[in-house]
Amino acid sequence: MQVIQSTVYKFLMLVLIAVVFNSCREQAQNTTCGQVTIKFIPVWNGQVVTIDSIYTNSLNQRIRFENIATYFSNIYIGNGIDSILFSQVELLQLLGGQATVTKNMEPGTYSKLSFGLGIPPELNKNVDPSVYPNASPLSVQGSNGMFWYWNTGYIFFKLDGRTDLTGTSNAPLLNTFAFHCGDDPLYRERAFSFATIHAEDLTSHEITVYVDMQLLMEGNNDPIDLSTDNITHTTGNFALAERVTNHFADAFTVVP
Amino acid sequence: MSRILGFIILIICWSCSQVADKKDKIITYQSPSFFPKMEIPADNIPSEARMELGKKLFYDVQLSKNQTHHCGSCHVVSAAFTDGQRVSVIHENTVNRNAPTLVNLAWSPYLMAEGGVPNLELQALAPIHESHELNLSMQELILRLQENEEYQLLSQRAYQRPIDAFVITRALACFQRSFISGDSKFDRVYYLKQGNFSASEQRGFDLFFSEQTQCSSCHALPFFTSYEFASLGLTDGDEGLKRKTYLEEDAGKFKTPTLRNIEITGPYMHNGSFGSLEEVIEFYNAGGGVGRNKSNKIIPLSLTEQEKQDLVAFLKTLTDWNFVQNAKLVRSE
Repeated sequence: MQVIQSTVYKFLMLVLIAVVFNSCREQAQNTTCGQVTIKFIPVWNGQVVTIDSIYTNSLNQRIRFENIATYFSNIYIGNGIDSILFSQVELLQLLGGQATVTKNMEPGTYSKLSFGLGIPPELNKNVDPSVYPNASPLSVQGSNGMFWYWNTGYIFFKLDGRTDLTGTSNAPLLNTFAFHCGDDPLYRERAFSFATIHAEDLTSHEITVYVDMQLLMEGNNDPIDLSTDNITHTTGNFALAERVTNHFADAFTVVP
Repeated sequence: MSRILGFIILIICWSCSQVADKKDKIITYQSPSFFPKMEIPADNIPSEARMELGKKLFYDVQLSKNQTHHCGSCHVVSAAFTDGQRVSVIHENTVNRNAPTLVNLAWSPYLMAEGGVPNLELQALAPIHESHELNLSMQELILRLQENEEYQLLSQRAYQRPIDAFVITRALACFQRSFISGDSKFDRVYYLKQGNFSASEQRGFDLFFSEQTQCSSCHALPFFTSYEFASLGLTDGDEGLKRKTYLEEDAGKFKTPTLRNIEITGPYMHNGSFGSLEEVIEFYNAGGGVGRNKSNKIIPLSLTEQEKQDLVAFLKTLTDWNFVQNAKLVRSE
């Protein structure tokens, strides 16, 4: 009888220790995790780009953006020594202020951000989007039309809009432009440093990635003339797709 | 008591038979012995339900935006899955290229004229999405089909999941793999040693496989294609393979098409620019076109009128009349 009592006592003690340990662990996790949000914001001359605003480029062409759907992949944040996968693939609509990715981060300090513009080759070619779960941004449904069906591979970004080429102020924007770019040679990787954030201090952190749309449209003294260069589906005009992609890759700045 | 027991047993047996009826059954594609072994993806082994679903989808106008066209609109069985048009017209949109035959796609190492799609499962997505073809997004198609109880039941039976992009692409591929054509007069004479060619057909055969014409170096046995890319020097501005590789040296190159059933798959070339086999032979006899990157195999042939007729006679032996009259492939009424 004494042996049984002793065994039960030991068992109860073990359960108690396990419960206490687990509570501590949960508490430790709750108290040290930090929520980090990466927010992508398109800007023109420092102002947030909106779908109902008109912008004028250096060629005096008035522009309205209607769609900036973009794949970002291999999003990592780190501290210069370690880096943690923040998200493998995100399909974001940069217009409308909802282009955010949020993750609960392990305790630590972070000051580095890197991501790919587009889809990396290993996930891009000869893949079958119908095998991904429907909620995945790489699935047929989740990709929302961002897939080349005749040549397999994803459309890394779609930049659509309207423009007026007459140079007349207040003239309706009757012309369209469409830059649909994506293929392995157009995948671009970017890395940034930002002021260190401490993910263990229980606060939410926001890393803002600005996309300078003016820089995207004009590059460094390489303005895209929408009267002549107004459409590419990559294959039909690869040179323009490459040019727009390079402008896009140079258009990012990061502010913690 | 025994009567009640008997009745219960009867009910159980009937229920079991109902369940058995709904079970799917694996089937085997029947292909000629002289064709290579067919590679089938592990996740799309053919079955009765999969074939039924694939055929239903192939002929369903819900696959097109305006619900007026289906795959079979441009790929008609009696024309070896072509449509007799220079280029197809759908929803008042003109398709960029001539509708290709769909025979023996199971052995094709890649699909589309540029070879940009690696397998039949993925190919199904292209004509559905293409704005000049069915012009419908897969998302919209799934929403349409999800409302259809018959599709849902068939999808569960075939793939044990609700109808979605996976099911649609697999079922269409499963059905299209059954488009096996290898029962022409040529096959019976050459492979099965049954019967003989006519004198003209035999001369055409000899020419086709000769050093003089080199037809068979690109249109190789047993599928009458090497699947290689080549330019015949056509000058319609279609960039062909360059669209995929971005290389200037690939401009104007297209995947070599099969010649099986060629008699009934005109007009010919990727742009449907030749209306008859005689025109095609004349084109080759003249040494092809003057467009970019023309293959060095395309040279003047100096064929006599008789030789041209003999080549046409031989090409007509490649028609598989049993295939194009196969009721199993025609739309079910």
